[in-house]
Amino acid sequence: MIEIKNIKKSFGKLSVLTDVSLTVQPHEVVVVLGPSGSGKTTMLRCINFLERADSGKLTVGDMTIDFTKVSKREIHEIRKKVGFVFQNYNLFANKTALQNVMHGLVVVKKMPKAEARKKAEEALAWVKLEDKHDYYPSQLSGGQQQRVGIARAIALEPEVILFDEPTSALDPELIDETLEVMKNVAKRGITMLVVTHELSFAQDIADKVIFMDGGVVVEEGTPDEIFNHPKEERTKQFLARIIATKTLSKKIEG
Amino acid sequence: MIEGRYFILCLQAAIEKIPKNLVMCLATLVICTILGMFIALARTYRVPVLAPVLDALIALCKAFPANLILLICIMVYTYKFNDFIAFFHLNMTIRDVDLIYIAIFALCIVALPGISEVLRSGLLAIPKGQFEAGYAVGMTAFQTFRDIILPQMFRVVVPTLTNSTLSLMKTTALVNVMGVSDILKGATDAAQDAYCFLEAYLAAAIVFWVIGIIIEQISKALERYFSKSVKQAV
Repeated sequence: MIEIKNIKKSFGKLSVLTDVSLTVQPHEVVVVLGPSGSGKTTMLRCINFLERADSGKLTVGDMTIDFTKVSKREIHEIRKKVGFVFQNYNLFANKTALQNVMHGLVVVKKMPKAEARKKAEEALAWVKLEDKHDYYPSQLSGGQQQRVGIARAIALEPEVILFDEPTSALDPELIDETLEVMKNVAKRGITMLVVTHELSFAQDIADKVIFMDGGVVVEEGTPDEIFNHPKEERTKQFLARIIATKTLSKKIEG
Repeated sequence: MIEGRYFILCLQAAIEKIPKNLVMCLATLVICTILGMFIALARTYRVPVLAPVLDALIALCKAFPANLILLICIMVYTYKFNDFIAFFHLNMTIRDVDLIYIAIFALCIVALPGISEVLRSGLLAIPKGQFEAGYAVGMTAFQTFRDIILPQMFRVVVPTLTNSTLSLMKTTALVNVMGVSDILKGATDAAQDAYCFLEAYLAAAIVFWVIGIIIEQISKALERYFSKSVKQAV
């Protein structure tokens, strides 16, 4: 389980997270929607301490920490429990696909090399990249790189995987293959917290949808509640605009 | 104008001194790379107190001509040697210490600013995402630096570091101002009797040229090795 309570974060005078609380139950898929600058990525990065929140509490599994007084050791422990998939993949550029997945297992989980290799091979097969073991990130397409990124996260078996707009740097054709893999991750029962603009993914897969704007959670509910019966005016506006853009691009394609 | 016989004589004398220049160059390079890395890290991550002090020191060291640094070092060394020995209660005289150590110390001061700047630029060239990916996987800052950042840094700095090594190699020809013998000094010493200095200079030039070519080749091999991750699929 993962729980954030009253998290606050500002960059200088700009308050990015005013007061955000949310809970993700085990095996749940929670999708966070919201316009750019609504603080959703910052919230995700705060959970993994890539950004340091100013205050609030965080629970991951059996560990609870307070952002105002967290030790280096605790940060390290939390990071081991949390997987992260980046918007721009961030694969280790000096390592092959297989090494990217293996490295954490060997260095962080202290797994023997042979075992780690087997596990990494499984994870890559799982994202359908069994034939790309020895390719460096520079030799892979964006979609393939992102799938390696997902394999790297699942191989470590974290309590939750955070996805930070995993498809927004990809070409339209490559988005589908990545979403497909993410759907499989969800079906496997892995707890996921996903920031995305892919409404169809949210509709099909999410157990809960959270709509954020201006550093607060505006509305949360099941996909049906949010998409078909949104209560807040701000949610309606946002959805209307995205749907309008989608229809327009469909018209252009069709 | 050039007598073959004298030229061979000088060339032999110069070749005999190659190990000395190589030792000075390599030792300095290794020391500067290690120290330079710490300096680069301290300056990049703005370690309090240390970073501004290093900024000032580096700026200062950069400004001095190499042979001035060598001269100052040898002067301070000869004047202060006895005080130093007395302070540590050591039983040795100035003759017991090979001057090459002092030369290496002085060469380090000459080369350190450049090499630490080269390493700093390498560090700055690595995208922030590579650090974040390491942390996200659960690696410590040290593990991330050792396994992810350092290998990528080397790929970036090999060409510029080669330049530093070449100019360091050339600087080793200046150590005779400290009374340390080297390739150039060896060649000119051999020329003393026959007064064949042109042959001596030519011999030293050829030796430096060959060493330069070898350094270039090593650098290219290193570059290939560290660049395998950015080559395109065949």
